[in-house]
Amino acid sequence: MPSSLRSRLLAPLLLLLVPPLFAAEDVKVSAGAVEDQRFSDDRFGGLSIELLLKGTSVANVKAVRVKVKSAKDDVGSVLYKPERDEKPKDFEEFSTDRQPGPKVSLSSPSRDASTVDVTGELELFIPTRDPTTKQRFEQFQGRLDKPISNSALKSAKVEITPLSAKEYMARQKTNRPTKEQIMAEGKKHGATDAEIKQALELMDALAALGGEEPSENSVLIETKDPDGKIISIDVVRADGSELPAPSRGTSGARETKMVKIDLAEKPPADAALLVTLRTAKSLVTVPLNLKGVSLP
Amino acid sequence: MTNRLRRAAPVLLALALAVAAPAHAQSKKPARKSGPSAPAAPAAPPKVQVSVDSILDRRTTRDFPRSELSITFKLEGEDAGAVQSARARVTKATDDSGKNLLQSEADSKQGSDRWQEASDGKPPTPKVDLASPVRKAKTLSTIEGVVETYLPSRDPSGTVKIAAVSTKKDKPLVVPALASQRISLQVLSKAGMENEKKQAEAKKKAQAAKKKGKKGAEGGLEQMGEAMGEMLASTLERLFLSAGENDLILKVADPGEKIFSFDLVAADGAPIRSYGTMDMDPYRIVRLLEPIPPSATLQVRLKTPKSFGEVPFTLANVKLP
Repeated sequence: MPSSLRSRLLAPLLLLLVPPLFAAEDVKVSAGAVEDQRFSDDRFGGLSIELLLKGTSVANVKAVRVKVKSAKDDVGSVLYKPERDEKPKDFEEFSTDRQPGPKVSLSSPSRDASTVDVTGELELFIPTRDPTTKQRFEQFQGRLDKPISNSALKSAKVEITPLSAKEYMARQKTNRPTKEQIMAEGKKHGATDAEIKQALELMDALAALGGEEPSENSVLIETKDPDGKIISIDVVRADGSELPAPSRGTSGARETKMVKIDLAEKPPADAALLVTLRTAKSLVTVPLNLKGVSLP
Repeated sequence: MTNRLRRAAPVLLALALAVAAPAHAQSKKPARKSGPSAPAAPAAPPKVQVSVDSILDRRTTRDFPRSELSITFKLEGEDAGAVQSARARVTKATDDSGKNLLQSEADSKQGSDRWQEASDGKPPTPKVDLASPVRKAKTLSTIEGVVETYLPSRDPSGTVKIAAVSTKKDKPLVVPALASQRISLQVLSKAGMENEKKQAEAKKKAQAAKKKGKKGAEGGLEQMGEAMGEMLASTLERLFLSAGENDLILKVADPGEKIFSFDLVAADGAPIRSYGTMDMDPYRIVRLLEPIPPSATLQVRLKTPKSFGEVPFTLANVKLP
């Protein structure tokens, strides 16, 4: 086929293909509610600006991650200083009706300030751009306490292990830091004895309130996800419909996380795990440029 | 991030790692009954100084929850250690722009006048909520008010002790010091609660049966009785859902509202830590982290004029965060 003819035939095809791939760029970000929490104890509080997403593709966005580059108030105070060893944050789930929506978190501005400017970018996870973001693992309940695997998980450096209740409790106990470890870590970072004591007491209180044992409705999982590639893990019926989970609990960090999904009903034997992973193809970056945001 | 936050971060991170709290799990907030005010003629003011412990100026563009200034007070001085409960009320508050920060009664948050308890051997830290100051204000020019204090050690006759309380479940406690105040008290076990629930349901059914066929004023009275039966049954249902394994559940009749609070001590007199009380009239739940030792003593604190004292305070040029 002559090249000119090939171009003529391919051009309309390309035009058809391009909009779904780049339509996310029509997403515009503006400032929503602004909250300035000013504590006399400067360890707490700060300024948060809710982000409003508008555009035809927003309905397809399922998770977001905010990256701030700079933030200043109108009297010149710098409100964002990146940490030297700061790791990229995890994506947070997003939907148009989810409250609260994504936000930027900054230091509190000066009392003399009236407005703030923020620049950065917003990464949007749009699973419809890449079908490989959804990985389904059939009948996972028949192979508990062993990692499930496939090429997508391997390439994302993700390990997922569905657990029996006995193994979940045992691993939870093993993963829990001892009082001595917490004290040593606190001391290393200069926390006072009173601060460490308070933290230990809070830990005891939370453990007493939150240490619910798994029930027959619970799906228990351990994940290892050093790069934070997992967006969500859901439990679905054989026909693909989602099993509602009124409550979820997680503990740990990316390296090892324990997940307890409490379903509204006992999962059927043929239930599957639906793991949503972010991939390079599923992400779109849009600029964040907030100017003259009024302070309350 | 400040240096102090950097220091606290690993401790908080360790906490997050340590505990798998389900997303729906909520800590049940201590809910002290606000109750009537202290007796009209409180005793001499205790030797307590009032200062600002911490301030939160919460500023928001949202309509709800709206912007508000919260001030937590610190109690110090000779008698501060003896203060078991305290609450503050502010009578005057202005920022340096002259704005009046006193909220109208309609605007002030419900329950903000609740008594705060002493904990960990430290005096209570009463809190007040005020209107939001002007953004450019730097200080609070004036804060004036009164801290009401409850010091049970000033009147030993105001504390009634019930030894080995956890061994005395499901029968009315015979305590002359309480009976003389027309107070009756019963400790309920799970089975006792179940029994209460059955009785309430039976009463509800009986009232519904009685109502049938009755008209006019008599029927109206029956309807009222039925509504009350339903209320009791629903209270018991909530009680079942709210009570934790370790909690002390009390059935209390106190028509004169003479009880100020409850607390527990171990055999050696050391306080047993509670994370609050919850009222579901006529029941009261004392929240506990651990099972009650059989030798624990319940202390019923009564409102007596001698055990209350008021501390007026005036603070000026308080720096805003």
